[in-house]
Amino acid sequence: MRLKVAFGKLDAMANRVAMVPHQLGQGGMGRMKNDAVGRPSVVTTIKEAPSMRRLLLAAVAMAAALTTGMPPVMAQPAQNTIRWFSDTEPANLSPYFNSTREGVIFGFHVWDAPLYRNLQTGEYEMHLAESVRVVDDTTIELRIREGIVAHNGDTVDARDVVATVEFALNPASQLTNLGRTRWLSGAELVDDRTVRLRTPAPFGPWQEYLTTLLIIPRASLAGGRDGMGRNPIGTGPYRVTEVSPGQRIVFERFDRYFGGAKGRPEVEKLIFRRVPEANTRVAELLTGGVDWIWRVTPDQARNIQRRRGVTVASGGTVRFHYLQMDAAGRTGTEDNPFRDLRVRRAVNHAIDRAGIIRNLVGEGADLLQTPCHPDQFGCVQEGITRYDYNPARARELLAEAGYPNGFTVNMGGYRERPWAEAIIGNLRAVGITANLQWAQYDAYQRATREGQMRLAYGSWGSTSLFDIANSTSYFFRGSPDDLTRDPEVMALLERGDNTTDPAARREAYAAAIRRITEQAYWAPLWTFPLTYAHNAQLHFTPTADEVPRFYRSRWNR
Amino acid sequence: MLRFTLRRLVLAALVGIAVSFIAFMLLRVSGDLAIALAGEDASPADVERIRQEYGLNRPIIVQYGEWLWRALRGDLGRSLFYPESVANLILTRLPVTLSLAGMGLVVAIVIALPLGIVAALRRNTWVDRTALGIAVIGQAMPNFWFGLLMIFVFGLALGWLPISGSDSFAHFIMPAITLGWFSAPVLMRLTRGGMVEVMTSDYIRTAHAKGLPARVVVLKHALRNAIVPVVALCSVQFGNMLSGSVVIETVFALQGIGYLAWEAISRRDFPVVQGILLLVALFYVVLTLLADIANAWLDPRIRRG
Repeated sequence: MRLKVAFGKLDAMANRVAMVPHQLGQGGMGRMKNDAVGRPSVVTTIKEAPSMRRLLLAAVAMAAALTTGMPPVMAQPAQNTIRWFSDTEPANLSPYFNSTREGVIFGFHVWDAPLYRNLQTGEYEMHLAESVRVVDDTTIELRIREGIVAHNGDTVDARDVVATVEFALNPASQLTNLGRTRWLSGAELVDDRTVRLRTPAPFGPWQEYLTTLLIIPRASLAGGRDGMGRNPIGTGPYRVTEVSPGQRIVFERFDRYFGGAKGRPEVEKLIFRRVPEANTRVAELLTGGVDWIWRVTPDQARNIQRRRGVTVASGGTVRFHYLQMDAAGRTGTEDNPFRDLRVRRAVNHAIDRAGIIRNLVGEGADLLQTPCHPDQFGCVQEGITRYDYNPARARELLAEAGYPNGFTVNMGGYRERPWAEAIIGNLRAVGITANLQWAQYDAYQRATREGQMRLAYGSWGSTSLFDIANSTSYFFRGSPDDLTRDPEVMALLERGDNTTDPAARREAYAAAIRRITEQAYWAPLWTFPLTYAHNAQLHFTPTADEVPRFYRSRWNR
Repeated sequence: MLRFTLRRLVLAALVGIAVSFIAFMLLRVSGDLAIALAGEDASPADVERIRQEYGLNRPIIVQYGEWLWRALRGDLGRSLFYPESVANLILTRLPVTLSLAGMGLVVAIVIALPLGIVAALRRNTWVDRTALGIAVIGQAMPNFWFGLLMIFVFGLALGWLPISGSDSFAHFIMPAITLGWFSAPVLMRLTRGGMVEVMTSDYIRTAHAKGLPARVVVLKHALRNAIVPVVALCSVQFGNMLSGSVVIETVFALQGIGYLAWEAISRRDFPVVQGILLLVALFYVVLTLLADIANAWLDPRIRRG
């Protein structure tokens, strides 16, 4: 009987899909709030035309509603295991040979870095290192903790730090993730527990980068790219015990783990499996086939949060979205409206960021006013120029700039298309016709770098680094992705990047950000939220850096 | 027969080379492998370093020539992302896809043959129209949608079958039905068409006149002739299932060749793409060969040329 009702609803929805063309970005209406016990819950009323995907999500949700008679979600506390599914699997587990977010998470659980960033306090804590000393502007000395044991039983000390850096800097190693070591020029062994790291120039965010310098034991480095991928050996709270590419990856608690700033884990085993389809992941969660999933869409969150035995929670990330405008005239200076400050300000006034966040992006996102994430070091919020949503003012500015009837421009994009289309809708309302040029990431990036993109909708994750040296400096210091090329901004950012004094850095960055916002070089949009769903018996706290800490999780027994 | 087989094998090699050349060129002009390798947050300097270290700055034709030379010696190379050789990667995933395609084909045949025969025998009746209706629905419904409906009913609502993975036979039931259901209509219509034509033949009338039971006339005399084109189509369908099951593999999280191909294309892991394309091209040639042999066995006229 229940099934019959469900199919009836499904038919009704299918009819709606058939009748209403899918017009993305026309405004879903959603909001998030806390439920009676203060747990985040999703209350979303979608008004946008349902796509086939939404229809499928609804099907899964209805199944959830139908299955109240089924046994509750089967818990894993007895096995003390967390099974987690994600849509992507890093092909190579070594943190130096993959750039996926899942790879970053594996890195946190299997390897360790000299420093650890405490997300609660924002302070850097000693981890593999027991002390760190700045010798001079280009030399940092690390004293490695005693008694560090690798998963294969080897002792890990300063020699492993030197070996890791030398391996990473050697072109023959063919690294694909260069971000962890690109700031270094070498490492020198002082004694078995002391190492000196060299940088080619004074490097401001060295502490932040020391949290990502994962140390690989020497025995593992000898295996090279493939050896490290097949048989990863680290020092972290979990050791890899099974790698079945495409099938599953199993991590078991490392009982000889030194603890450090991460602490010793409670959960004994982690099992990772890639399940590419979002609906399948949700279905698995509802039937107890998995304990933890993420990247849950607002629709899915709304539908499953009522399900007994499931907890839905949102967390932030360092990722943010933005609109780049070709103020430098790299696509040509003739008829380029973005050379005009008034046009750039008009774009900033035209976009209803709060509305898009409320209706589409969902809980956990914050409105952004700066070309960086507010949690990043140097991303000052004081004294900047803010642009409110004011379409009338946008039209005035366009008219003043000589575009009373607006203009037409191509806009590049590669992810979160509905959000891009919502922006296009806002721009159209003030007279700017933006034709969306959708592409794969590499094609999008190549077009930007080759000066073919006049307006670009993008997203930046800063490799989870909490320092604007990896965001604002990247986009405004003359890199091929810099569409601004403002000498004043470049000089300020260079000063901030190349000094080790935090106060001086902050001052330089603040001036740069004020200049960028005053000139409206970007239209910063919003921070990127992340929604998790997991077995309600699992104690899990979302973090702000898109890296779930399973070593801090435990089962409520 | 030996000459025929050798000719087919040479053809297979030529098809493989042609397909690999076209795929190599298309893949390389469609995007930048260095950017794909470096990831989203990589700097231009990182991308440039990777381009040089992996030899991606050399002329495309030189890169293809190197790959082909190694492939001709049996070395398909190594994945640019996985710590595995391409051959090993394919061999690991192949059993999943073969199982899925095999079971899917069985499902398709089990649905298509009886329906096709019944539709032909009850031509222009409600039975025929119902069978045709099933065929239309099967072809019109997107297989990912049907797959999710299966998950909804048998995984979530009834809890009878596992939802994703490939750990046991039970894991393949829903994917195989989804795949088979999608392929059944074309087989069913061919069976029906063949049966309609054969049932009006003189020799069938003679068989009836001789007093043979209807079961024998239909299954032994009529079906054997009507099924010849169906066998050929089955081989093509099996090839399609091997290479085109990516959607099913995605929905049910089966780690087979289809998903590997999709993943390799999106990452531009060209040694893996090349390896899979070669394999699929060879599959088609071998399956066509097997279909020819099967048809020759079924129809003596083909054997006699």
